[in-house]
Amino acid sequence: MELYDTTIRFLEPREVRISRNSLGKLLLEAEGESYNDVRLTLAFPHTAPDLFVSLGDPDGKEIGVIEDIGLLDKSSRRAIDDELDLVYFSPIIERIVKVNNHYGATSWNVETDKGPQVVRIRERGDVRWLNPHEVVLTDVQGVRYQIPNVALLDENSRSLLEQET
Amino acid sequence: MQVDEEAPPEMPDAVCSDLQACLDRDERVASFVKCDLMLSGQFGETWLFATDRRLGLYCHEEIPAKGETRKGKEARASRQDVRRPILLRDLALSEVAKIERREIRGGALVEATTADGVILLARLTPGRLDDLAAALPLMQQLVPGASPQEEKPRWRRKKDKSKNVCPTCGKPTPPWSEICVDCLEKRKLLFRLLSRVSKYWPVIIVGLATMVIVQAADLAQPWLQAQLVDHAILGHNPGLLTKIIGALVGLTVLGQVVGGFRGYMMQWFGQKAIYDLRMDLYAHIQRLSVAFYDSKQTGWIMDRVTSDTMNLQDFLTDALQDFVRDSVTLLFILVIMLSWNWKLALLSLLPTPFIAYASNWFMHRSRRLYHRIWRKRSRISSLLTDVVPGVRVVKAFGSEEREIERFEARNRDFMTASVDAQRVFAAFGPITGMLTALGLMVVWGYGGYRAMGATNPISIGTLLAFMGYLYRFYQPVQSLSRMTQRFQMTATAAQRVFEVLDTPADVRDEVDAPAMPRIVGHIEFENVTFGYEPHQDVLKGVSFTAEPGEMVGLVGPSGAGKSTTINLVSRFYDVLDGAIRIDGIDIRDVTLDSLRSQIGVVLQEPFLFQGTLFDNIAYGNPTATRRQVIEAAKAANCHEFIMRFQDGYDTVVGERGTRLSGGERQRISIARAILKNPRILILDEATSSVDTETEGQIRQALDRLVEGRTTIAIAHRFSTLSHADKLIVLDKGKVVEVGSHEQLLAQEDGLFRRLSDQQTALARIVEVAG
Repeated sequence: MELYDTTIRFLEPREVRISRNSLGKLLLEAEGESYNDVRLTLAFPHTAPDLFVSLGDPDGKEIGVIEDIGLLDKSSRRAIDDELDLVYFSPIIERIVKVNNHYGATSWNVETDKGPQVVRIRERGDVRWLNPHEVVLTDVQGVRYQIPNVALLDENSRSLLEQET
Repeated sequence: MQVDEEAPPEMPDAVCSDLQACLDRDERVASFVKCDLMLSGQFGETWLFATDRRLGLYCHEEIPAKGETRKGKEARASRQDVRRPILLRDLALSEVAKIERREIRGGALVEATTADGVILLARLTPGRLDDLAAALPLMQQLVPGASPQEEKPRWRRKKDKSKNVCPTCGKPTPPWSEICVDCLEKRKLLFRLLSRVSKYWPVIIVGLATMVIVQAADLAQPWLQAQLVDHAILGHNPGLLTKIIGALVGLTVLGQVVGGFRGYMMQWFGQKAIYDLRMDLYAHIQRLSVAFYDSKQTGWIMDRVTSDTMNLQDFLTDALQDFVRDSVTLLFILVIMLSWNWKLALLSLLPTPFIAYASNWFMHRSRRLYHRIWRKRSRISSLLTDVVPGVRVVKAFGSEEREIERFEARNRDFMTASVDAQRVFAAFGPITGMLTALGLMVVWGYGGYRAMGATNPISIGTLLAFMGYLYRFYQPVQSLSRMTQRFQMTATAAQRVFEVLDTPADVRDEVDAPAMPRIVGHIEFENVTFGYEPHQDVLKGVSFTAEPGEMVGLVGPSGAGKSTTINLVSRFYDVLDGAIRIDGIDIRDVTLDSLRSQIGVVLQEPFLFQGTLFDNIAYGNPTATRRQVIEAAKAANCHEFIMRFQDGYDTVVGERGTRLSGGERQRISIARAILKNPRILILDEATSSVDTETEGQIRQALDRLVEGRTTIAIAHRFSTLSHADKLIVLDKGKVVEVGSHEQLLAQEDGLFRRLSDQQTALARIVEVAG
């Protein structure tokens, strides 16, 4: 009897097709089988959103992992991107306009790819540097705001970020 | 317990009337929820609504008025005029088969299933989930053919922590606190701090009075010196000289003695006031619920009790008094100088604004620099607190070099920040020094010139006195210009301290709650729903009972909710829905103290406090005699190993004490529970990761412990639960199977059977490998 799966099932991107079924749910066809209503989970949602995308059934059981979705065919890639856009709400900060400090808690007036927003941060620890160029801000509600590359921010944004972290 | 429920929210009139324009004349909105995202995922206000015939998502497009760039209220007002209502989604209810909410990372989606497929109805961020949870069930009811009460509508309870919005300003609050940072009355913070020390008013008055004496003694000296020069020396009057010198000596002695006394007294006052505050703070933290500790790091809590109170002490003993002293001094000197010679006074005050400005600028800069240094330093200490306890891992992986490099990087950052800061600090001293010197030169120049003048000359004494006053003038100017920053720092510390003090314990005794009578041991879970995070229920409608004296085993895969279930019995948290009753009494209706004193807990990772073994066992019952402790230790099978220690029961354990093995610690905690003699016993996986012999000893100890008590036990090894009266199998927060060990094993396709088979197989693998 097989106790636990001990190996990850990597799906060969060139032999995988992802599309929408008649209901509009994600359909995965791989290795001669098809799976309906596939759920996506990112292994590295911040540091490598294109790599190691896990595909699972609605109960959360993993079907397999695609190492690099960049290698998928165009329509599969589009289907995955659309779905990721839906199930990962994680705005990317493009500019930091102003940071107000209320005795340790901060609110950040930012411009994101989802529009302008005031991000309310509970404490300094919620602004995390994953490495020297990537920052993730977790707001009081638990939404993750990302800065994928600090170097791409303008001077003012960077100095505000440096000041508050 | 009655449930405080809030009325469902109302739709704003403007939205309501705009929306009505999109609907049929006789159509009414039955349920709605305000969403904060557009369907594209952009931020924007939308309204998901349901009527008796349709489901829709409404928003209003705001068309900028002609002037476009106009800002502020004017523009907003004019924009409203051209608000255009739009239905982004418009579905006939008859087409809809199902409405569902789908949790996503960073919010939720609402989707409708129709014959043509799944249609996205709305997107929201977590801030809107409460309202969605309230509104969605009503919408689901409207779908034709809906099974009644698919999901019960749950208006948030007033006590519900998931209400993450400040009641005053509507801004989101952190999950663990009900207070909005902005609405904590900032300006009142300092007054609040002062009101806490108002009972020390005699000390404060004496402190102020002595301060006036000290300052007066000091400020009289330049004037006396002027008299000394002009009248005693230049007037050739030795008698006067002796008198003035006597007076100067007297004033100096008076100033120093009173000043010393005052310094001691104010320190005493400051320490005493902070002692009180720190006690209040610690007592309050002790009373706070487990949820508070879940959300806070130990370091954060320690900082509040130690460094923030220290900041407040600095304010009370130094900053506040410096402020009063400096203001009074400045006023004195100004009055003396102006009334003596206003021209000379004004001239010598010339550099003052520059000094004030420079000090203020410097303080502002230095605060940021200090803060940066502080952050870099705390990065070093956090690395240390991380790596030092993990030194075995570091060595086992041979990564000493890597750790040294990591430390080096942070150490260098710290050094760089400090050196940068020193540049600013280095510039400040000379700048103010020069400005001060400039003022003195002006006095020497103008004063000297006037002293030589023929008409109306200034006396040498006056000139000297002015110099003396000027020296005493610039210091308070500098100190005062930094005062705002010091007050700011105090306000920050006060804010943090009061924030903790204002955090209510969310598990607390009801007013006039009676004590729990002696427990017989009947435990009932009725439809218990609970989650640590809002909208993530860990237990979903769990029901079971345990009869007096029964042993109930909880089993299930990890994450099934076993530990959560036992946390709720001790009322570490309150259930969100349903009830837990002991002997028919809801545990929320009795005092925490009377409940917990009758419940014994043996945890997975037993915690030993710094102290002797005797103290640690007696922790469960501080009044226990030595004899009782030894008997309990014997019953828990730990007497033997304790007696083997050189220091016996006096052996010190804890962080730097004797190291005990996992099995030994476990048995100590069993002894603790035996000594407490609880009516209800909670065991959490008491026999993991120990060898067979130790397990046997623990087993035996536990058997003695559970006798005659209702026991709820979690064990991952099912063999240890074989003599439980009843097993409850949990999976994903629900009870999936109930029965005896044999009954459950007999169910071939049951979860218990499957888990049990896996464990047997795993045990075989381990045996072979071992």
